[in-house]
Amino acid sequence: MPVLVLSSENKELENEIAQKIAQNLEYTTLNREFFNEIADKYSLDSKKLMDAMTITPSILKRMPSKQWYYYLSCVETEVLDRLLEDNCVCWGLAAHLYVAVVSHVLKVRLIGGHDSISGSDKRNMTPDKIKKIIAEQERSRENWSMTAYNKKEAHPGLYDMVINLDQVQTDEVVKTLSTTMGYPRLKAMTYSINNLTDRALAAKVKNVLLKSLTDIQVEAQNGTVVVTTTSMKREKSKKIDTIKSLAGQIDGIGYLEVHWHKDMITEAAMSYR
Amino acid sequence: MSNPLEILLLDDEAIVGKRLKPAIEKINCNVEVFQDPLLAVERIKEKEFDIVVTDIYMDDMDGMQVLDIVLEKSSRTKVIMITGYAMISLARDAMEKGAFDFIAKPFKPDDLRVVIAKAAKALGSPIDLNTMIQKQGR
Repeated sequence: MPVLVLSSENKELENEIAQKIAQNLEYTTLNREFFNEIADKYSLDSKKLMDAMTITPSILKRMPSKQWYYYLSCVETEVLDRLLEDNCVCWGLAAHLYVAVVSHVLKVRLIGGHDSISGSDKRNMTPDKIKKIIAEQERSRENWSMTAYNKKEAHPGLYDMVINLDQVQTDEVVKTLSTTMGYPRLKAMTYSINNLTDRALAAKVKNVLLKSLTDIQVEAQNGTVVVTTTSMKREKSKKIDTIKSLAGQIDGIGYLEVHWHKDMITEAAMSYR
Repeated sequence: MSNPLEILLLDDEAIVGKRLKPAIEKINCNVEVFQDPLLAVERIKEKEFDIVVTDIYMDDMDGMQVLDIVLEKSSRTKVIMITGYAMISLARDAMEKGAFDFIAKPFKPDDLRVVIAKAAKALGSPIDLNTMIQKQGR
């Protein structure tokens, strides 16, 4: 059950390519249409959920940091859960940033293709203006991906393949990727399924914790879940107990460990008072 | 009950064979254990196994070479790769070369039994894991 994850600077072309590949291979699709389902499941405002995928936390934009991380976590949890199910083409949900080390997932970055990006608007713009807009969009995406996942979205090292849409025709991209998905090296295996299952489990635990807590990192391996957190020393026991109690509700955890670190900055600030 | 599956288990750490052999024998399989890849290869040349379970990093010969030799001898044999140094590129290379499955260590004997059952099904000799384990006692 291989999975194709696409990421692109050109949303229109990305959508067209993804849909065609899914049709060719008879795969399911997972894209931004999924937001409504996620919003319903977690009782979130779907417009705000969509905003969280493009803006960084800011009081001015009415998106506090705690809420922003929780929204992203809801998307990550649901996407990873869905990717466990079947052959799938996934795009527009930032999966390239949180699906890592899974050998049956082919991650492809589509670059260029700006000719069709602006459509009719482009006719009224000078090439310099277009360049400026594209550079601004790229800066904004990099800022988002660094804040959300500490990864530069455009870094080629994140991907198995990078395709330049200025140099390769759309139909050729569809053909190439459809063929590549059939390669034996992308076949799902116990190792890759376990990796994805661990990722999905870690995301579920993190999601439950982020609903009420902050400063939470979660890793899972073979069902063993390690939660790393920081707080002031006087809150240590309470925070660890809360983590154990909330995470305990999640099915699939074999063993749960909480690693606590002292929040030196807050401790120092408090000692000055 | 159908004929037992013939399995060769190769791992240079003695504890792996010692621990896994009885676990696999519980599901109607005959298991031959080897620590030395060169001796294992000699045996593979003599006998067609249904399933070969091999470690990857070993002295003298690695599991990828063993995989080549097994498939050259018999394309129907299912090769299951096990390693403590799992990496995405290694896993993909093994699948490209024709491995049936790839498991990262550490794993439980049950995990390997599940993969063997999958291989048995692909060979046309399905194993009912639950019934067999209950019969033999865990």
